[in-house]
Amino acid sequence: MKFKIRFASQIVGVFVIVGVLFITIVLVLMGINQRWFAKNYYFKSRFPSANGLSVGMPITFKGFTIGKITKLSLTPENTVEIDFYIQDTFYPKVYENSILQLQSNPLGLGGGLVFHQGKKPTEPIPENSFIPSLDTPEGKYLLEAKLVEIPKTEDAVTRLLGEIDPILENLNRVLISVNTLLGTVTASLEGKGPSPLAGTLRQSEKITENIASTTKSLSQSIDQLLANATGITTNLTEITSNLKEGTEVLKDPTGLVQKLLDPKGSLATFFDDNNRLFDQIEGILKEVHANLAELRQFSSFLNTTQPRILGALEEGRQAIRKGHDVLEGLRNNPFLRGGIPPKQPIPTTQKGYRMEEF
Amino acid sequence: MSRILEQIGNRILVGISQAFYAAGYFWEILIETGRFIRKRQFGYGYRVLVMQILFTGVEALGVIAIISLALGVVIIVQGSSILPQFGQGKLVYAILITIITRELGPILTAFIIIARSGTAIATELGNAIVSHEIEAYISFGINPIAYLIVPRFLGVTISLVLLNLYFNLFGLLGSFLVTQFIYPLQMQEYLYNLLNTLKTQDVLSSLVKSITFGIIISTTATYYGFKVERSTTEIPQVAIKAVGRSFILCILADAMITLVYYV
Repeated sequence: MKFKIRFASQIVGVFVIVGVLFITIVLVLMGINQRWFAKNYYFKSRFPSANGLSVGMPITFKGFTIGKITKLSLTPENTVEIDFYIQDTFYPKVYENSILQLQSNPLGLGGGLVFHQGKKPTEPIPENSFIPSLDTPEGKYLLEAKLVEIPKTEDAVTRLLGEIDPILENLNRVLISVNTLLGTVTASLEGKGPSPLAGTLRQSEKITENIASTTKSLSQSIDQLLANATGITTNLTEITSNLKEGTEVLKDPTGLVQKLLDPKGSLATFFDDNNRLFDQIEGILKEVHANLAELRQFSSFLNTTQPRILGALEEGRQAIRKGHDVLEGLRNNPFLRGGIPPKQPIPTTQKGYRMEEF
Repeated sequence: MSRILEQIGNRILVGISQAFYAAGYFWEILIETGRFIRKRQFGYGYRVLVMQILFTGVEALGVIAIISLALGVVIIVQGSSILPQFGQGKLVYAILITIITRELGPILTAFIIIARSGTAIATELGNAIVSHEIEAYISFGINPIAYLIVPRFLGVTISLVLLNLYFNLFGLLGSFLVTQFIYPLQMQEYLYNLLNTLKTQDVLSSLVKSITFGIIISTTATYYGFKVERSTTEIPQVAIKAVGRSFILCILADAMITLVYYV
């Protein structure tokens, strides 16, 4: 037999029990949560109008819901009587001289029926007692007699204004900052004040002045240059006219070239003198050659005698140094002065790589 | 013209006759049910009742659980993500209760039972008639309504009520647990708000609806099951009729109960 069929009764039993258990738990939790089994204490109050009131409307105390309106009725005196209850947990708060206040605001924010506790702590007033509302003469009397205190609450408009106020303050601060900034910018643009922009502007002004003076001097220089250029141009013009004249002279067949090339001219005479001039030049060249040979011999002699000359010079230098020492010793003689001074070794400024410290 | 009127008149008379017959049938079921409960028959009738709850209730639990879980998760996730944007985050609880507990829970459970058990009951009874089992019961002195119908009537009704409770269990709590993986919520906050939003009339409405749907489904299915006369070809026809009529009656009853409770 299938398991399901064999244990059908047990399976169905579990199925039913779990379902019943669930609904039972839910109902119990609902009852606890919604105070089905808690005692409520009923009271009455009166209002001039039912506007803003409704059955089921919560009654709050310090922001807590402590009860609800259960009934609204119009009395023969045309006032509205309400029945309401206060939860058992808040019942001890219902002192004598407590009142109800219907708070409403035109913006529809917040509001509701608010319970105000009597000022003097007393035993809670008995059930079904009358708790006046602030809109009735009894309630107003209790307030004027200071038997009940209504804490100052902000209505929606005040709350909104309160929220707007810090925003306006911030805006004011921003505007002041903007004003200061604009003042600084204006001063800077005028070149006043310690700001970098002002300094930059001041420097710009000086630079502009310098540029103006430089331009002026440059202009003068350019004027001078132009004057010089004019003079040079004049000279060039003169030179050009001279050249022109020279060219024209050269163009003349009866000019200088013609005279030079004339068979009776100087060149012809120079070339036609029976080698007299050439012979003289050749003689001069031979003499120069002989002089050069002597000079070469002298140079080779100097080369051979140079080491000896150098040795003689070195010996002379050493002799001079010793003589200098002797003279110095004599000058510093202890009997005469202080004797020969010790020699100060002069360290060389160039060191070998091995002498360097690593 | 007179023939048309005659036909309309005949139809009305047939309708009234059938309505009376159905009312008498339902009355007979109620009497036998009372007798069944009073006598505390723990014999075959009890066994049939247990098997009916097993087939109708326990076996449909999986489908119910999946549907309710999915529905609950969708409502919680969508509601918790969209409604707070309009400052109405707490409306998710009201929507959850309206859909799961008050409206869709009972009707969806009823639809599943109609589709699963309504057709099965109508077909089973039709087959019993075709195979002359009913005549055999009568010949043995067994009241077929007491033996066949009352356990099914009670079984379907009890199953529907229980399945509706399970639908709420999975839809309200199971979906919360599933939602923790997608959109974590505080358990205490969730339960507190849910229990504060859940009103007695919501629970009562849900229970009344499920009891009503159970009565409608079982009565309609057995009524149409007994409508079979001699041919097996009638069986699917009555099954279809039983399903269709059950749907219509359940929806009408749902609308009426909702109107009674909330208008």
